[in-house]
This record gives sequence, C-alpha cells and structure tokens, in this order.
Amino acid sequence: MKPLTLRLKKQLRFRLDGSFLTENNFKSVSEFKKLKILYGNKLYNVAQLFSISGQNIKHIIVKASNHKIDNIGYKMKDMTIVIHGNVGNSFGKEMLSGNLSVHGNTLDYAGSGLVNGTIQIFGNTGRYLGGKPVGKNEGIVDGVIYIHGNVGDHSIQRMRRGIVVINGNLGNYCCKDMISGSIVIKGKIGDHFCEGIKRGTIVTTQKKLASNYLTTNNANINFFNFFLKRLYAMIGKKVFPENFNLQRFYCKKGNEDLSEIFLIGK
Amino acid sequence: MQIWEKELIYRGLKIDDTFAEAFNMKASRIIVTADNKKWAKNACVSFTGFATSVIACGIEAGIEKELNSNATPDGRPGYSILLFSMSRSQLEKQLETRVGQCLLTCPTTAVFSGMESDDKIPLGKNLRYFGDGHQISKKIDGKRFWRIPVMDGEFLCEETTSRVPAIGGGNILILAKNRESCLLASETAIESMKNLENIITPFPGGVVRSGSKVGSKYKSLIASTNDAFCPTLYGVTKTKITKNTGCVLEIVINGLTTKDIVNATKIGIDSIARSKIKKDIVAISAGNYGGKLGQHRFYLKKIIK
Repeated sequence: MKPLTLRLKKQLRFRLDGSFLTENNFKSVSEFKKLKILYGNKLYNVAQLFSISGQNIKHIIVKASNHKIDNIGYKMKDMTIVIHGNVGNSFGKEMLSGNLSVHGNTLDYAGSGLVNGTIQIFGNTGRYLGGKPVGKNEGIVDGVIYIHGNVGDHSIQRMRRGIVVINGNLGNYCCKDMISGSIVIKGKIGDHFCEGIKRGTIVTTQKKLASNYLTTNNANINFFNFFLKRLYAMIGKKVFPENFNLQRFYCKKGNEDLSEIFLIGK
Repeated sequence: MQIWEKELIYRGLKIDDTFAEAFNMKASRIIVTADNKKWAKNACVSFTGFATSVIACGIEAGIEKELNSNATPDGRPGYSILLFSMSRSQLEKQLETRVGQCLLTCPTTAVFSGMESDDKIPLGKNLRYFGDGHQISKKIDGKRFWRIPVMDGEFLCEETTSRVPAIGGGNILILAKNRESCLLASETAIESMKNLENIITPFPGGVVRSGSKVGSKYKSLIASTNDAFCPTLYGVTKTKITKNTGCVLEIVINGLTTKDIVNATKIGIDSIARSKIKKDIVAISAGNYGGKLGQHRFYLKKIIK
C-alpha cells in the first residue's frame, strides 16, 4: 500500500491545527477526506485544503508543509509521519509511539511531553524543545529526539527519561531541572546549562562544561559503547567519529546531584 | 538412508524401537559478554557450574553457543546461556543468585536478556542494590538497564529477561562394546550439536553416565541407578542390553521446542552413524519411565525417518 500523501492546495493565511492527522481515529481514506477541520473561522473537509493520494493511513507523508501548521503528531500512536517543509509549534506533542520526522525546521515546543517513539528534525528547531506541556510537570517522559540542526533556548526542561541527540548547537537555559535521561550534543552549548539537574547523562565535546564536575578515574565504562551502538541503531546515523578519547565526570561540585558528563575528545 | 523395519537399522547403526520421555519446563536465555572470549567463557563456565539436573541443582543450564562481537548487544564477544527449571520461582531464584555470584563478580562482564516474551523475570532488577545508591538506570529503546559501579568500572545488566515454556529431558543412550568407543561416540554426537540453537546438553561435557530409574529398594529414595542399562548388572537384574555391551552413556537434551529436540537428536545419531566409531556401537536407545511421568515422547523411529 502506498503511503497516504497530502499536499497543501493553497498558501495558508491562518494557522492550522495539524492534530487532525493523528487525533481522529479514521479507518479509511474516504473517512479521512471527509474529516472536518477548522481553518480561520470556517469548517473545511480535509480534501478541500489538501490534495490526497495513497491508501496507507498508518503512513502519512505531508508535502509542501509550512510553519503555520501546528500540533502535527499530537498524541500519535503506532504511525509514521514524514513532513517535507517546515512545521509550526508543538510538533510531536505528547507523542505516544511511532516515527515522526520533518525535513525542514520547526517552531517552538517540538516534542513537548514526548511519551515514546522517535522524532527526527532534519533542520533547526525553536525554543522549548521537549518542554513541559500545559498542566504537566515533566517534559520528555521517554523516547528519542534527533535534531540535525540547532536548538533554541529554554529547551529540554524537566526531562524524565529518553534520549535527545543534537547535531548542532544548543541555546541558553537548556536542560533546566533535568530529572534524568540522556542528552548527546555534538555542537556548542549555551549559558546556564543544566541548572538544577538531579540525574542524567550528558555526552558532549565541550570541555568547559565539565569544569564544575568532579573528575572520575580512568576506568572502562562498558555502558558507553553499548549506549552508542544502540543509539546509532535507533537514529540510523553515527554521531561521533570511530576513535575518540572518553573522559567521565560525575556529580557537580558542591551539589549533591547524580548527573554525569561523558566528554568526547580527539 | 536405509531403514529395515524389523531390525531398525540407520546407516548401519542399530536403533532401539523405543522413545525418550521428556517434561514440560520453563526456560530463559541470557547473553553474557566480556572484553574478550576468555573472560566471557570464565563467567559462563562459572554460571553454568552445578546446573546439571533440577533434582538437586535447582536449574539445568548450559552454554548454548558462542557469539562474536557483532551478534552481541554491546559489540563485545560473548556467549548465550539457556536455563531450564521446573518452576518460575526456582528459575528466578537461581538466575538471580548465579548472576550475582558468577557474573557480577567476574571481571569485565555484562549481561543482557537473550529472548523476548511477555513473561518477564528479574535479571538485574534486585542486583542493582549492590550499587548502594550509586547505581544508574538507563532506559534505552524500551528496555531498562542498570549500571552498577564495581572495582573494574561498571557492571552493566538488563533489568529483566523473559521466560518461555520449554522441554527438558530429551535423550539418547549410546550402547557400546567398550568405554573408549562409547566416550568417542558421545563426544562425536556432542560436537555435532555444539552450535545448535535453542538446545543445551546440561551434563558434564554433555554426557551423563548415571542414568536413573524411578524408585529404589530404599524407601527414602525417589530414583536410583538404571540397572537395566548397567553392564555390570547384566544377568543379575532385568536387563535391556545385550551381552556384548560394555558401556552405556546418555546425552540429555533440553530444548525450547519439540522441533529443536528432535533436530538435535537426529543430528546426534546421524553424526555417530557417519563416524568410524559406529563399528563398536551396539545400539542407540533412549531413556523413559514407561511414558507415565513425562508429557512428551520422542520416538527414535520417527526421529530418524
């Protein structure tokens, strides 16, 4: 079966709630085409706004998307959605399982309250990546987010579990009050990183980050190679070169947290 | 292949028209890895020690096969181990004890679950407390792992492994003219089964000499020597061997499914039938309790067809 492919028929003047892709339990393409969605102050059928082809309702491709479509992948479960173009706010919000990817940039709150599944952003993402959804006290609960570009400020707040991989740079005030989880950052990290962290693993190339931490002795960590192997299998790409020097730092000085930093050196 | 119905001959090897009696068991698989094969083997040999029979050891365990680096979860060489037990509680208890005493203690090792099912049993779930608060949990791809600080770095173990229904007690008896030939034939059969998946031969070197029958003249014993196959008791008790039989050895096979045991039995018999040693083999037989105890019967006649 060919994936269900949607293409915007016209340029959007108003914001569009993209949660209709995942929130309604439509069982057939015809049912999907007749779905009523609010655009501006009028109700439209999906088929009026998008040209639709393909049959597989569990595998959706959206072409010519733009930043005015919010909430794509909201509470998505056991689906694959691929977006070509940019997307708006709350991309993959409270996603439950499946694969969600965008070949473009996103606005704020991408992956907020991610419960499980994999989100790939091939461009940059705005502020509050993996942030706390309204009324919740935790950000990312589990799952994987892989950002090929850069990430904005105030991202990854109160992360509980899961893995975030950032190929580019990370903004200021990120990973605040992090509870646990793993973050892999290949690029530069902004100021006020990891304030109020409790536990969690940071993998970075930035030596300055480790200055606040206690250095551990040069012991072999079986876990790290295992972690990278599993991570590369999940995201389908190698983040770091084959050979590197690894140094582990544990527990912030003067702070009784249990966080750790794996510093990757040449 | 040539089978004569009356004598039941397979490739010139006489096969007794009997069956092996086997039991329902519960099984689990773990994968043990280490920095090199030597230490992985040390850990596995220790883990599978004193695990020959559920009668007194609690579980039956053995190394299933060797795994090279690209077949293990952490990219290091290792071995997969199968464990069989009659009950869930015994399997849980033995697994935890043996991981704690034989794998946690062995330098460089890590342990992972080797199978998937909905029925989970603890692997590192309780062992983590050895970390005294410094243990670190990581949930990767839906599975939880524990990192326990130890003196050589960290012991990495998966939180749970799975339990599946299995079968224990499939067997063949090798009846030979002398002990030397019997041992050689047994070794040939074991060698041919060495890398088969889903089975283990839990006894020392895969071979057992003390086959048993149910009951004893002593009331306190539930099992005693299988006198029908003891060459030294030929003519004294009701025997199942011929006068020219000087030695009988048994290969016990535990497997995850009926198919696995049938396959292993066939390969074992076939390897003996193809070897030069078969001239000294009197017959191939199988051990059973009259079909009264076990839930499974493996008829040799059907297996070699």
